[in-house]
Amino acid sequence: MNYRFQQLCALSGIALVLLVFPLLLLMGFFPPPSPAEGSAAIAAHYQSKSSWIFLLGGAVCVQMSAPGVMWSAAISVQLRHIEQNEPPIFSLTNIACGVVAFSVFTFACAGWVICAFRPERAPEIIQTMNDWSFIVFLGTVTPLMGQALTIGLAIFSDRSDEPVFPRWAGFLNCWAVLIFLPAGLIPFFKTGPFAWHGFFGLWLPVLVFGGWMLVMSVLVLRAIRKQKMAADLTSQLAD
Amino acid sequence: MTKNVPIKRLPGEEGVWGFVFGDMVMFTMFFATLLFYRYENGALFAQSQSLLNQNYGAMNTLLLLTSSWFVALGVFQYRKGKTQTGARLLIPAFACGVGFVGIKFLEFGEKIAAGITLNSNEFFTLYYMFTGIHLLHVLVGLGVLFFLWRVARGAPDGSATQTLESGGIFWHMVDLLWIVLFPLIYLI
Repeated sequence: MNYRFQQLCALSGIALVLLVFPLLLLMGFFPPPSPAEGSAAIAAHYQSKSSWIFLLGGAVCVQMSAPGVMWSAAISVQLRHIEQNEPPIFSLTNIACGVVAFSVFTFACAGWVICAFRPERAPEIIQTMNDWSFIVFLGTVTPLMGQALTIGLAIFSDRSDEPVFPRWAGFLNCWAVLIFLPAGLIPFFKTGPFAWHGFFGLWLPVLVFGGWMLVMSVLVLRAIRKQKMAADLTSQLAD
Repeated sequence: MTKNVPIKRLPGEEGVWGFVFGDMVMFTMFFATLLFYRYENGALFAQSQSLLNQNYGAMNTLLLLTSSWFVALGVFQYRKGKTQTGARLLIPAFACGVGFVGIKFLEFGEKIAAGITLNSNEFFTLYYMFTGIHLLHVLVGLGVLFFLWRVARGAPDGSATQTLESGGIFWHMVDLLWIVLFPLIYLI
């Protein structure tokens, strides 16, 4: 069986978090420049540090769609175990939302790369690109909410004696949906806790997102290990 | 002689308590944000607060408390074996919840008509966002109540009781959050 590759996919979720978060920190995005700042101040943000930090950070982040999609696939395989012979609506919704969520994330990163690619250009253009990046990065939150909700509902529907995921993980996913929600409202604010540099717009959703990805990766790894042990046992008994 | 030892049991399932805790942590941060901004800008908050219609807030408090009471009665009757009475008691509970939503829309409508919107000032940003997110909880809760009503009308069994309790706990939490949100936004 392909357990090794499943494990690799689950691990790629952990790798993504461990790569992306330090890079965002390095690029000075915790917190990012306020949306209320003028174009000159935004442009200065990209010119102040050596632009290679943004180029390098953005260039790495922009490649993160594949690990993200692999991670989503590893979860979908587990949702497939929950569905058994039912129509695979949970696993399909999860992987489709995952593809969209992580592609959209790379579009946001591409914006940061573009800002840093020619930092000498007109400040208004840099500001526009910076707006694009943050609104795409945080504002397009429904694919992630869709993923968390799908996983949550799938866990609740798991009626087997040995559930694939613990039931508390179902509640965790539903809670994550609520936490992600305010990020989708950042277009309406330039100041305050709901703006893209605020507590409910950035910190809470992004940090919970990281934690959620790590927890789900670990749970998937555990589920794979259990399935592998069960399969080994069956094959031993067959010998 | 066997002693009659009362068996202690956690109502609902464990996970729902974890969820309630998580959600209340989020709302606690909302409350802290409100207090922080009011500390920073007391005059603006007092002045903006005076523009709110406290009657709407009070009516909504009453509606949610009544609704919670009906849910508690319903679950109580259901556990006693009167499952159909239990199911019927969820109907006025649902109606009170719908009343809450109706009043909220009336209130938001009045504010918007008066030119007070999301970005009018810091107070109204928090007012719209926090009561709005709470309203979303009420809407989810109404879905939960409808689901509970269907469960209660079905064949009674142990897991149905637990489902009823779990859903009831969520609805009580929505009520509790409003009871804190109401004085913080409308009164003090």
